[in-house]
Parts: sequence; structure tokens; C-alpha cells
Amino acid sequence: MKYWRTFLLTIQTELQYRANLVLWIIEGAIAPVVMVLAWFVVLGNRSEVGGYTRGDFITYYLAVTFGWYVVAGTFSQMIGRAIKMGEMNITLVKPYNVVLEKMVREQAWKFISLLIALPILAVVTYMFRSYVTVSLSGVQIFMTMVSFALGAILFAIIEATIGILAFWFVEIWPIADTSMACMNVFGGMLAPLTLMPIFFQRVAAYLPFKYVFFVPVSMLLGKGDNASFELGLQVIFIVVCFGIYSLIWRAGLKRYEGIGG
Amino acid sequence: MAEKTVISVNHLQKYFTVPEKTAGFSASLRSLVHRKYKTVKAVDDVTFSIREGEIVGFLGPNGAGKTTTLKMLTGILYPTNGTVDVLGHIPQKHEKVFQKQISLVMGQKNQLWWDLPATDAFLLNKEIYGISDATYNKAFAELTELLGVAPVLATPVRKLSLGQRMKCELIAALLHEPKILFLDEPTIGLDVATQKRVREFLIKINRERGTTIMLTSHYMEDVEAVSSRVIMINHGHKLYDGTIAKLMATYAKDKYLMVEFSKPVQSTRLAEVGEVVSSRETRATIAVPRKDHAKRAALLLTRFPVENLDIKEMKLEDVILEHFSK
Amino acid sequence: MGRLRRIFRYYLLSLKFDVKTLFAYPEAFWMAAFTQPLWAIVQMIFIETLYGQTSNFLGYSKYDSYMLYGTYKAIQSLAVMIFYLRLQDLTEEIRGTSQWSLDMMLLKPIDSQLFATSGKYWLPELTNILVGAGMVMYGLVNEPRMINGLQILAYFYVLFLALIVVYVLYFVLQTLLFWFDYLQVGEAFWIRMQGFGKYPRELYHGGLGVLVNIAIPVTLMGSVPVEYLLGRIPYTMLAMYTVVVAALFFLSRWFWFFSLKRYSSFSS
Repeated sequence: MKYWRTFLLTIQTELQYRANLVLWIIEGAIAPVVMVLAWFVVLGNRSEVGGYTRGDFITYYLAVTFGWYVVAGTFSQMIGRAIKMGEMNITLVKPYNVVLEKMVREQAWKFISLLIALPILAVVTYMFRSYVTVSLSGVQIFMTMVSFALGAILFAIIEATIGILAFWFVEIWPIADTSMACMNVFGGMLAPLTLMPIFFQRVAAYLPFKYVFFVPVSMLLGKGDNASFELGLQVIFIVVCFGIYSLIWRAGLKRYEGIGG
Repeated sequence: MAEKTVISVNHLQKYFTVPEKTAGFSASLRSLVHRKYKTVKAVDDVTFSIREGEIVGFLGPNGAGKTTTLKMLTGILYPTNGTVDVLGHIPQKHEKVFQKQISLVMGQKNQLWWDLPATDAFLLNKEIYGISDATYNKAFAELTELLGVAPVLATPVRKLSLGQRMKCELIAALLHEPKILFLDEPTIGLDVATQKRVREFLIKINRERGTTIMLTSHYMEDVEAVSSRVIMINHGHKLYDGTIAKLMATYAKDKYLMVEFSKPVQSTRLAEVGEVVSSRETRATIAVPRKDHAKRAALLLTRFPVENLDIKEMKLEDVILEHFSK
Repeated sequence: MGRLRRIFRYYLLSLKFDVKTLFAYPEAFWMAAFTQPLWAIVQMIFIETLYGQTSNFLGYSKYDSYMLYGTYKAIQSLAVMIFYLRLQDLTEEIRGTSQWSLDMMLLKPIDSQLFATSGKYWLPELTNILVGAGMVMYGLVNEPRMINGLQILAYFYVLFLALIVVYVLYFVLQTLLFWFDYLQVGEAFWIRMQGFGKYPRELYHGGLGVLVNIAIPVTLMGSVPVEYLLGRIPYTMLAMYTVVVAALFFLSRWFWFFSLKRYSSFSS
């Protein structure tokens, strides 16, 4: 399949930039490390805060970092640029979807990052194993993996939606930036949602961001109360978001054809 | 009349170390751990000197080492070996005094700011070079008139056509009245009319201002039209250094007899006159030695039913193709 | 003297042109101006979350933390406004894929480092600077304090040092492109390194502490100036900081010229 070739080619080019890869790993690790340090200070002599122990915080931010490699890969800008360059013509003419292509490219890149990150993550996890508080049954592990997969799909749909807004907006980076900020706050990347001011927790329930990161990560920590319910919510958000995406996509193509690309 | 030498190059060498590109998936994996390098000899022992007021064309195919030499003359690259002296300075030292006396225009790279109109970009250059208001205004008026760019000056540079942009680049390069103007592929991608305009412009400023000009090109017409002297370079070596006239006299050993017959003539029969370059039924082009051409022409006229005969010179292109591109 | 005047006039003219472009494309300005403060809001949410669980974070009250983050934000935005665009352009220029060539820059009678790394301003950062200053005011006003002139002076001096540190960090990361070819991770790394500056310097111990407090003192962006403002840190440290920052600056400059020598503008 042609997408498989794109996948391989992207991996090949990426391997050329080896300093690049190592630095990305290091770069990605910095923010969570600092967050954990901050929470340790807050904990002080207490053993737990808001239901989170030291171990919970370490596990939480480790999971968020791991989740970032699995789930996230921003390709909205790539789609935006493709629209600007008129690449959408290919989609209109050939049985080749440019959006799908960009998504696949990004997946390849994430895949490499994951491969390189995994051994490092494993080492770090081992170093802090006395802290790491993950004890899940087989079923729970399975459901967690499903949850991460659903989170990844939801993230991809959000990215794709932002990307195709380029049919209307000259610059989509403000929208992409806003989305990333929301992901940080409402997705639980910044801090566990349950520790944040109530206002944000309430808003987060109605936005898709929580279901990209926070839900799967909570499951990993064994803090997901009602796993099947949460999974169900993820599916609902996926369906709704994909519906919105399709509507925008169709309207966008029409506009694109109307303008002449 | 001894004229000052402004450029002096001695046994110049530039070697590059480039990583070898890998092909294939497993090779890419291997390159993660161990990279192989190879040495590319871009310029290999080149010596020449240029006097004030000359226009010298640097000719050669792509990858011959022309641009690399130019970059070493302007101080952009450091030579691996050999010496460079321009206007009494070593370019690599980047002395401000030196930089204010030279200019470089590259056909494919810009020095004009992308988002600004040409006039604004010129003003920025004015501040960088410390050009006085009087000098600037005079140069600006002269150059814009010579090149006819007045209507496009207010347009952002990125919206200009390639021809208009090149004209503006030339103006920007000459505002500070440099003693030497270096040009790298200045007419590349330009339409024929603009190419002509640029060439005329170069001749004019050389004549009126005495600006020494050195240009590289792989277009024959640039060199023929503009320069009095040509340096041929290929694979980093200097192959020829002298006037075009002498080049032709030395290497253009042949003249062409372009003949039209009243009846079809077999090309094999024409071989006794000279080397047949091309032949169709009633037309042929025969290369004959320059010394003998009159005799050979006479031979042709007596032996064959000639209706029309033209005697033509070899073109510079042909000379180069035959003698210099290996 | 003549040279300084020349350079000053060049920068003034550049600024004039950037302001002109701003008025020509106001939408770009407003878009950036409104979305960039978002990250400040994100961090404010984090501060509120942290202080929801404690009232004292390493000796900083909540309003102290606002002052810390506001200062950090202001300096970061100032660096971005003055240096970001040109430093970012270096990526394409060093690789040779830019239309605007590094070669041409080397030819100009102006210091190559100065010319290649400054001169284009990203004016929308102004809103971020204002947001940062606003947060500092907010923190100052909500808690009564006694601040003398010397403390204010020290505060601004440290901000000056911090600006140099932030510049040098990105500058070195970009100069590395002469040696390694890597994608935007340089920029991401720059932003992340700065991230250490969002928190009090006492947060970092051991090797990490030495790294972000002394070797690449990003904590000069927020923690150290605020502590000088509040009189919590001895003035003698200023000497050490000055020496470190000066060393960083001259080392980076040496590295730039050294890399330029090796620079290959080789293109077939």
C-alpha cells in the first residue's frame, strides 16, 4: 500500500538526523521532570496531595510523556501548508488522500521517537521502580491500551480538523496554538485534572481534550473509576469530532474547488 | 601603461569533506553509528591575476569550481591551500575597509530583504555601508535610470519577477561604488531581453566607472558579450587563461564550409574535402583546417555541383565542447 | 564612534520598517498578540493549582510566584522580540536552503554575528511583555513590601544578564547547525531550557542545580531578579553571575567565528 511506502521513507530520512533524535528525547523529558520536582516540594512532608502520592506523581508524568509519544504528533501545520501549496489537487484528482498522507508521515516520525524513547523510558522507570505505582489486572491493562489508542485517534482527528481550517484561514497557527494550550490544561498534561481548580475540571468534561490524555493516563494509574464508562465517552467524542471534521472537510473542498486552488 | 593588479591568486586549493549519502534502509541504520566521508577537490591549484578595469569571464560547466573560487576571492570560504590577495587585502580577514570596496551578486541567492520594497532594502544597505546622502542619491538616480526599474521600486522584493529582482540586486551591489564587482551566474533564469540589458549594463559601468568585473557563467553569451578575457575552469583546474580571440585562434583550428548542392551528393564522397559534420541530400557542413580552407573550398567547387557556399567560423561553444569539456 | 553610529542608524531603520510592515498587515499582529499570552494563562493555572495545595513554595508566596513568572515572561518575550526571527532564519541560511544567503551576510562591513542574529523585530511579543509586566505588578500590589532603589537596580541588572543568557543559548544551538544537521529541536530545546526559569532556583539540586543556576543560568530570568527585588539574596552573587554570563557570551562568539571558518557553503 502506498502509505506504507511513505511510512518507510519518512523513517529513513529521519534516521539521517541522529543528533536530532537524541535531542528530541532529552527535550521532551525536561518539562515533566520539572513538574515532578515542583510537586515534590508541594508534598513536603505529606505523603499525598489530592489523592496523589509521590509515586503517583512520577507515574503520572511518566505516563503523560509516554502518552505524548504514542498519541501525539502534530501535523495540522503540515496539512495547512499542503492546502496553501495546492496539494489538495492531488486528493481531488487521484485516489490519494493528502490528509491521510500527512497523518501517516507523522505516525512514522512518532514511531521512531517511540522506539528510541522506549529503552530510555524503561531505564527511567526501572530507576524509580520503588515509586512507580502501577498494578493492574490483565483486563485493566487491555482497557488502558484501548484507551490510549482511542486517545490517539481523537488527537489525530483534532489535528486534522485544525489543519483543514486552512481552507478558510490564511494562518492556522493561532488555532493550533490555542488547541495545544487547551490540551495542556484540559488534557491533564499540565497537572492531574482532579487537582486543578473546580472550574477547569467542569469545563474539561465537555471538551474532547480530557479524553486524549487524562482518561488513558488515569486508567494506567488505576485511578479510572468507571473504565468502561470512560471508554464509552471517548468513543462518543471520537464520533462527534469526526462528524464535525467531515462537515468541515466537505465544506472546505467545496470552497477550495470554487476558488480554483 | 602598467595597470595595477587588483586580484592575485596563487596555487589556490579548496577541498571539501562531505559525508557519503547512503541508499537503502539498512545503510541508513548503519549510518546512525558510523558515517563515511569523502574528499571533494573543488578547486585544485589555480593561479591567475587580474588588473584594474578588466572584465574577466570565468567559464566552465556546473561543479567546475567557479563559484568556489569566487567565494574564496570574496572571503566567504577559506582556502585549503594557496594565497588570495584582493586590493591588497586577504579577503578571509573580513576587514571592513576591504568589504566596502567589493560587491558580490549571486544569481540564485539574494541580498535584498524579502519583505521590503526595493527602496527600503537599498536604504538599509546605505546604513550598513555608511554611504553619504550625496553619494547615495547620485548612485541611486543613475543606476535606477540605467536599468529602468523606477516603476517597481515600491513593490516588495518577493513579488518582483526574476528579471526585476536581478536588476535591483545589481543596483544594491553598486550603491557603495565598489572597485570590484563579482557576479556569480548573473543571467541565470532571465529572459533574453533582460540578459541583454544586464550585459550592456555591465559593459557600461566598467567603461564609465572603471569597475573591475569578474563574472562566472556557464552561458557562452555572457562571456562573449561582456568580457575581454576568459578563464576556463573544469574539475577545479584552470584550462585556459587569455583573450577570446586568442582562444579561437589557438583552438578553432577549423572553419566550416556550409554548402548547398544542385543535386544530391553522397556524404562519403565529401570525405576527401574534409570532415563531414552533417549532411542531408543536397546540403552539407564540412569542417576543414583553417590554413587550407581556401584550397579545400576550391576543391569542393571544382569536384561537386555546388549551388551555394558559405564559409563560417567555429563558435566558441563548439571550441569549448570539443577541447574543454572532458 | 562612526561605526557605532552607523550600526545604530541601521537598527533604527530596521525597526522603522518592521513597524511599517506591522501597519501594513495588522491582522497578523493582532492574531499573534492575542494567542501568545495563552501560555502565560496556562502557567497561571498551574500556579493556582500548586497553591491550591500549599501556601508556601520554597519560600515564595503565591504573589511572589506571580512576580517570578511575570518577570520570566517579560524577559523571554523581550528576547523573542529582538532576536528570535533572525536566529531562527539561521537554520535555513546555514543549510543553504534559504533565498537570503549567509554568504551575503559575511560580505557586509558589519560584524557577522551582530548582523546575522539581530535586526528584525517580532513586534507582536509586545503583548506578552505587557502581560508579564502586569503579572509582576499584580504580585507587587497584593502583598505589602519594602523595596529600595538598590534592589530595583539589581533587579534590572539581572534582567539584562538574563537577556544575554537567553540569546546565547539559542545562538549556540543555532551555531551547532554548522556541525550537525538537525530539525527544529534546537528551537524546542531552547524553549524547554528556559522552562527551568519559571520556578525558584532552590527547586534544582545537585547536577541539575549547577546546570540551570550557574552553567546556563536560566534562573536569572525569574527567580534571581525577584529575589534581588525582595532583598533575599546577597549582592556579592552579582559578581559571579556577571563573570559567568560574560564568559558564556565570549565563548559563544568564539564558537560562531570558529564554525564560520569550517563553514562550507558547498552546493552543487
